[in-house]
Amino acid sequence: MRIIRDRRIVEDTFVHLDEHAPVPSGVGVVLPWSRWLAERASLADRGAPVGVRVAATIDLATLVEALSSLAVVAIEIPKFTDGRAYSLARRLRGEAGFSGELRAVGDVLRDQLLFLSRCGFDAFELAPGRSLEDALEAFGDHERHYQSSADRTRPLWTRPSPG
Amino acid sequence: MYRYDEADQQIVEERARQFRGQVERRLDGRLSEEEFRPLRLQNGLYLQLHAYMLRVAIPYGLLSATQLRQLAHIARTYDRGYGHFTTRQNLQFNWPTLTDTPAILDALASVQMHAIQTSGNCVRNVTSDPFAGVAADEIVDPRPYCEFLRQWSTFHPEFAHLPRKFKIAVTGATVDRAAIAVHDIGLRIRKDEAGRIGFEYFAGGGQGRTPVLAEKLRDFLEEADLLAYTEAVLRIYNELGRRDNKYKARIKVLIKEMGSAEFRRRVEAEFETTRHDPALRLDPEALARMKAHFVPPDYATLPDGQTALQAGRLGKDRAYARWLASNLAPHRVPGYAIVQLSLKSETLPPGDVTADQMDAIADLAERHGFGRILVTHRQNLVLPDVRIDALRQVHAALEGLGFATPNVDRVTDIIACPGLDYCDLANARSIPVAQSIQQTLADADRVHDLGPLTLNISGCINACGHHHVGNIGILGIDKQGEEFYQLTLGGSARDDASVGKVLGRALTAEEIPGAVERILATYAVLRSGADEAFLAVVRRVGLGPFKEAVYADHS
Amino acid sequence: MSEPVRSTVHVLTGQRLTDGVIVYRTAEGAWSESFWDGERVDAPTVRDARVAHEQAAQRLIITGIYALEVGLTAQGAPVLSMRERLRAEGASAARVRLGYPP
Repeated sequence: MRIIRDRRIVEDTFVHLDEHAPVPSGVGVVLPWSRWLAERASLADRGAPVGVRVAATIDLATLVEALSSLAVVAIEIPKFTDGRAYSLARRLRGEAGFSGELRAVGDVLRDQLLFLSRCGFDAFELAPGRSLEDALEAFGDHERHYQSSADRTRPLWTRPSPG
Repeated sequence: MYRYDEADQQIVEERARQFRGQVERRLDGRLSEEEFRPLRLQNGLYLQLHAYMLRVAIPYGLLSATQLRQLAHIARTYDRGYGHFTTRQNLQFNWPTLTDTPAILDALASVQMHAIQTSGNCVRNVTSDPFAGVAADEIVDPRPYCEFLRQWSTFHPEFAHLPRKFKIAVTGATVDRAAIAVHDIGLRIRKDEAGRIGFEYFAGGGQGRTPVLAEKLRDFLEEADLLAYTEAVLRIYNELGRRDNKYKARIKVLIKEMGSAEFRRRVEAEFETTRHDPALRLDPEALARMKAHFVPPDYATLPDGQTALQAGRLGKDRAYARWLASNLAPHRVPGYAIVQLSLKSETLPPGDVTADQMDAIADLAERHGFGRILVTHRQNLVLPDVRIDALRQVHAALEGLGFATPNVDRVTDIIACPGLDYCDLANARSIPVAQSIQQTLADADRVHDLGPLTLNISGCINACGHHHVGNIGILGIDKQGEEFYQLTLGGSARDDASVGKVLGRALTAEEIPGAVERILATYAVLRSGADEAFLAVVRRVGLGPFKEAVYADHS
Repeated sequence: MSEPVRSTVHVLTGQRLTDGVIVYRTAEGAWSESFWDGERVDAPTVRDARVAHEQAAQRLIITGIYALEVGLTAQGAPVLSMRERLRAEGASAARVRLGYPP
């Protein structure tokens, strides 16, 4: 499967598992949160990166505790109009200091990519049937931003007056 | 006023280009209607009953003459020659096409305007006191803070998909002319004993189907923390606001269900994080730079003009005398007055202005002032800087334009939403009801004698016409496909904010003017003197006598 | 006030995507700006199938397609809700009286 990562189209290097599929060796995997919770001990020493798939409503404290052993946090966006993932991403990039891959999955559409990336997402699985090439253009929709976000841009109101 | 530099300009131009692309993708099928709808709404474009409608942002209601002329140009070129000023200090075009909209955005961008976030589940256009910067009772000019909030909320990446729309209002005067109690966030700017500026911070007010008055979160929030605190409020709302039912999705419901103490606790905890973020804290340089955009213009040194005003009020020209009494507000600079243009007459729907009238108002604003025009939430316009020695001239010009009706804040200064004539959500028409009340109350002396009295009409429970907070409120409802109207009494949007109470069974459109007549007659009898306003009487005697007058022998 | 409704039929309606103009589906399958050109559909199954078909077929041309209810009096005169009356008449009485262009 192709995804967008760091504003480029790349082949996904992770294998996505459901609740029951056997865990392959030597390759990165992304598991549902509940399964990771149940199998975290056995997953810890497999020698390949592990990620989780979570809902935006997940209890933050529990997730934050797990972050040090996670390479990927994939946040589900059930509907593109549901904005909770944006705040969760900001918390993970901000106070929680997560520097791994933050991936948007679910109803992920072109016109939301720029804001999602500003909030800290760096990887995107687009909704089925969407053109990734089309979607890449979204990052160029706006070059300037008034306010800062997880991207740490400098707020425009801090710029010196012209002249 | 705030002037764009190349960065601001680039943002509105990028927006027009982005929307042009979105329209193209809708037309070629890459975007479905369901996906396109939130995108066009966040750009103020609705699909209404008969056509598209574009809502143009007028940040805190402030326009330059150049901008108003450009709105006139757009009305002529892309619409049917008029525009409609709304209760949120914005302007709506009722007949643009989807395919013309990108060109309209270009035309707006060329005069530092846009339609960003005038709809959708995001932070909407910030509203404020229409007398900001000139009011005699102003403590602190709210416009720099409004502009900070505008910039902070414009394309805020985290808050573009909130549970529901989000409205912020700011006042800096003794009298609240911004209705802060019925906004998602309401701010009253204060000075403490040491002269430091801060905000009395309210949240959770709103109208719609569940009218709620806002709860106070802070007595005094420091000036520098405005954005950090607001970001904390929005984050808590974005995460915890209900998304299962759009009628329970506003922040007022979250605060009610959670309890204001718990909500405040969570906001304060979040604020502990955001207050240390240098990207949110407003440093003294940033504050000073922003305030420099709003320094007073070059006023002339004039005598205070009060003698001339007094003479005018007592003079033989009754129309002029009444106009001075109702359409003028005191200015902070001696020799100047704030002039309100009444957009409420028998000839046009409330809030409507034709393109030619817009041009004429722009000319007046330049000749009599510093080229500024303000929009009020009662759908009137304001010339903020008129010299008292020019009032007769201005009055004559406004009479010629039809905007000198001496009824501001009087019963015929009716707020009305577009209603079923235009709006896809409406249950009943508002404009014809407003018109018929105007016609019944054509006697200017009587209107004048009835004193301050607000009458607000909404065509549906969404309450865009602010019926809940009208001293007299009229709500359009649908009964088996026919229009009916429910009357409420006792609402107020001012400092003594309250929600009106339903008087009785709903009436037909034909019955409404008569019912209003009887309510007014009852008031005239019950009031203790000319000084006791309608609202005071309703609060003193209750609904009983009014109910009796409207319904007895009339069923 | 109005005559009693004896039966109901439906007319397919929607708005043109490019300009929002209200249109009605004719018996020939074209779309007209006049309510009176609209085909009146009787059978609910035909109506529902046609709405579903047109929503898909017209998705780049006409948006918000639905079947509007038309009451019929004994004489066959159509009775519409206030909303549909205003949609069908284009400009409301208020606006005509105020001298706006239609």
